[in-house]
Amino acid sequence: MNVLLVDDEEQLISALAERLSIRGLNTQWASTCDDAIQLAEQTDFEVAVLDVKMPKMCGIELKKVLQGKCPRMKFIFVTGHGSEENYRKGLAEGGEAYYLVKPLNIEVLIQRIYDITNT
Amino acid sequence: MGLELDAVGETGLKFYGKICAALTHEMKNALAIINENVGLLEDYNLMAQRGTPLTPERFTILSRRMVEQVDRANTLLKVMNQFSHGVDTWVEEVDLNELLSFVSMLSQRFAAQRGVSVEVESPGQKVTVTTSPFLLQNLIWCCMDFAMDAMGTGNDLRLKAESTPAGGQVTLSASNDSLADAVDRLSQYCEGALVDALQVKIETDTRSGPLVLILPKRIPQ
Repeated sequence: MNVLLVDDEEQLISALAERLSIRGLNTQWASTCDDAIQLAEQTDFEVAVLDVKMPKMCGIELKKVLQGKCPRMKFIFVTGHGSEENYRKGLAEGGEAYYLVKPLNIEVLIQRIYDITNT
Repeated sequence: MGLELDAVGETGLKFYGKICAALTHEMKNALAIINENVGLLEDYNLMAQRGTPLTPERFTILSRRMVEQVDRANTLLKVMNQFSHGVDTWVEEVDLNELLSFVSMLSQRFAAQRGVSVEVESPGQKVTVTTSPFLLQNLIWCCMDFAMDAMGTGNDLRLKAESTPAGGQVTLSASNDSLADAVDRLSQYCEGALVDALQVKIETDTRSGPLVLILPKRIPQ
């Protein structure tokens, strides 16, 4: 399974990518939306894990672009905002997707990745 | 009994809330990075126990990241503490250059979200006025918020403080000279009562010039 991680915090995303790779997931990461789009043009990703709030383009906007490149791609959003209101708003804006709050629990993330690719 | 807030109080509370939300969001990011890298360290430990050879460089990288993020979180807490203490003394002598640098620091996340870079021009001399530091931070932040929306992504916002015979002035300039064209929207960002409370006059050159806040030498206590 090919997984794409996108977050503007490079030290977070690179560590997360390495942890997922150790657990057998083929993972690539990008810290900018432009780099993420470029990776999506080269690899057919099944899942993208996107930070909601990023400079210049938010995760929800990036989702729309990535869906055009990888139609099979499923999405999991990660947010630092823990409020219920933001969760509901994100769910309404982003459509069918999962939302997780930072800091992440790696086992929960992996379970969500498998859940979303099995739906 | 309904909750009544005056306009200055309401705009101040909104400002305080937005800044606290931005700073705590950044702190959460720092903690998330520490969390992930500690998790990776645990993974390395398990790998080593199972006999996987690991180079010391991997551990050096992780420890450097964690030290960096602890420093980052510590700095954010100091900034938040300084911001919170900004209401301790309601009116006092304020160094305008220091205040601009501080508000610029508070605005970092907002600027990054909009793809705008903010620069405070190096002071030629010390510029002081006696005013409300919190309300002036609020007003300058509102003007920066307006400016960042008006100028769009990829542009630079420059701030400069200068002394005048009557007090001081703060100039906001956009690298694409877009502020004057959007000035009719300024009132949507800057509460009139706040401008009045600080006795500030806001001017702009309608021929694509900067935004200038003219401050009196002293406001009443």
